[in-house]
Amino acid sequence: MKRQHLFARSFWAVIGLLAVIVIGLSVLAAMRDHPVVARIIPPAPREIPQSRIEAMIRDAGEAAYQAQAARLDQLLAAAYAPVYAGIPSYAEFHYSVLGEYTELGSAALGQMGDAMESRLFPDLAAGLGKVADDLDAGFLASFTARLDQQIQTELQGAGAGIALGDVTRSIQQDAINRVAITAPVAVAMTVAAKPAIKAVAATMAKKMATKVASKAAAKGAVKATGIGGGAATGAAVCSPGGPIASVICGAGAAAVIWFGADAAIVNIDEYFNRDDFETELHGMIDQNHAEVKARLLAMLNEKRVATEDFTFSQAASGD
Amino acid sequence: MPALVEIARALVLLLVPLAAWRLGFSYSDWAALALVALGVAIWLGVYRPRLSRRRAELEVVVIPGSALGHWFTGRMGAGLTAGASVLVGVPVLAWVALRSPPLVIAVLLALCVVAGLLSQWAIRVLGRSLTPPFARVMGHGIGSTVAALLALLPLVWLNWAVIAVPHEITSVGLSEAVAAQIAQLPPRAGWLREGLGLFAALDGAKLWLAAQHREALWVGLIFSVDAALVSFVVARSFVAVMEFGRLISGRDE
Repeated sequence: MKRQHLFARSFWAVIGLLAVIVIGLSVLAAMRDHPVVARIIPPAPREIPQSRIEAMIRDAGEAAYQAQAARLDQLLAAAYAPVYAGIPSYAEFHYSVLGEYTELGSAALGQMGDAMESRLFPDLAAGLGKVADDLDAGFLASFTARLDQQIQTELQGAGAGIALGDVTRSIQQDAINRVAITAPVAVAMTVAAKPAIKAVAATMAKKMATKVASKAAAKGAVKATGIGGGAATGAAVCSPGGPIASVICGAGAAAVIWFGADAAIVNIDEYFNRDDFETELHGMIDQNHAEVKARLLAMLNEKRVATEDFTFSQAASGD
Repeated sequence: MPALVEIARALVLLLVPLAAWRLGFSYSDWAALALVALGVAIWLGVYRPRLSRRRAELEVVVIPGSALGHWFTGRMGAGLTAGASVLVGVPVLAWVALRSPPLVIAVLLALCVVAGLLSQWAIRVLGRSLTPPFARVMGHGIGSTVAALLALLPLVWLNWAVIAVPHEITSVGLSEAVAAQIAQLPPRAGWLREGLGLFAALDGAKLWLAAQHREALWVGLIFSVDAALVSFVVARSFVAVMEFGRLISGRDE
């Protein structure tokens, strides 16, 4: 019984000692900023609680997303500037006899999309690749800066001269590394840009081919009458020179009238329709611009989501 | 009222070593010494009532004065059970104290109180029909098991709908997920880090696996139930510590 009593007392003494250690460590931790305590015990590196650092990472992801979304219009404007600038020269080409026949030939061969891509979007894929690179680099830079700023604020709040703890530093570096490699916009854009440009060029080509074909058909009817009359007149004028001269003069007159009528009709068409044509091209490029912007925003959002947390309940309900 | 005193005493005996461990672990492996006190409490808290019950059984089974009577003391069985309780209880409690979010710790504290109350109630009720050694062991089992079952609900809910999982775990491989969990331990070599690294690796692997299939309802639920099973270890350990508290306060008859 005496031994049991001694054991009980010893055990309570150990618990008391542990309690003193716990209280002492807690008091020291609370008073670490006090100059007297700081002189005796050098400030320990500060470990930021996991839930707090996770909130900081989330916040940095959101800030990086907002920063990149805000500069997206400017970046895309630079990438699309050559495309918009190329509209007048494409219209110039379209409203020329050579352009008309080139387009008609391309449409007949089913290559109008390629032709349109090389004339209107020659550098767009490279431009979008640069936008994606810029977004990746910008996202990482914004994320790193914001996270660092928040950690510095936390450290300043903990007291002067306090270093960041190893565990928190490891979490911080890990988060930065992940942002650098997770869901890169550049990789996704490299895969998506060319097909997207091909698709929009094909859509534009389809509309254009229908127009070119119907225009050619309408002109054909008008020109048939003129050519018939012109050939007959040419043949009649050269008839004193014999039958061969009549044929040559008839064919020459028909050709002059054919291409002359083409040039006249193209000019009349340009006079009445060029503005509408350019507006229509503008509209189609605007639509592609909006689609690319939406896609880039989705890619950025994917990067942002990668910095967020989820609960299993949210994941199962698809939120 | 004595019941509440016993529970309060047991809470002190459980929480002081765990708090010392949690605070001290960031600085030194010597913090593990605080767990020795907890191990002793759990060992004796399981050993003594088991030994009493075993002896009560042996009194019926073994013929007094027989040759083998000297060997059948019940100490080995009680010692093995107590040893197993320490081997499971101390590491799990140490890990819970280090890594559980505050909400989980709050639920586990409430679980301890409920387990204590239910055990004492069960011992009282069983004591009307059973002899004390049997009533105590059965009362501990019933009280801790019912309390742990009750705590499963809030713990599953916390793991299912409240505790957030970093999204980045979905985009890394298993080895990276495990390494990330281990990296959150203090960076110093030693047997303690190796041991806790096993827990960290197991947690990381389970979380990674569940996160890969997070859209499937049953995966998240299984993960949450698995994480909540800690309630059984906590409840059993607390009841053992409560029994130890009775022992050192001289109330062990």
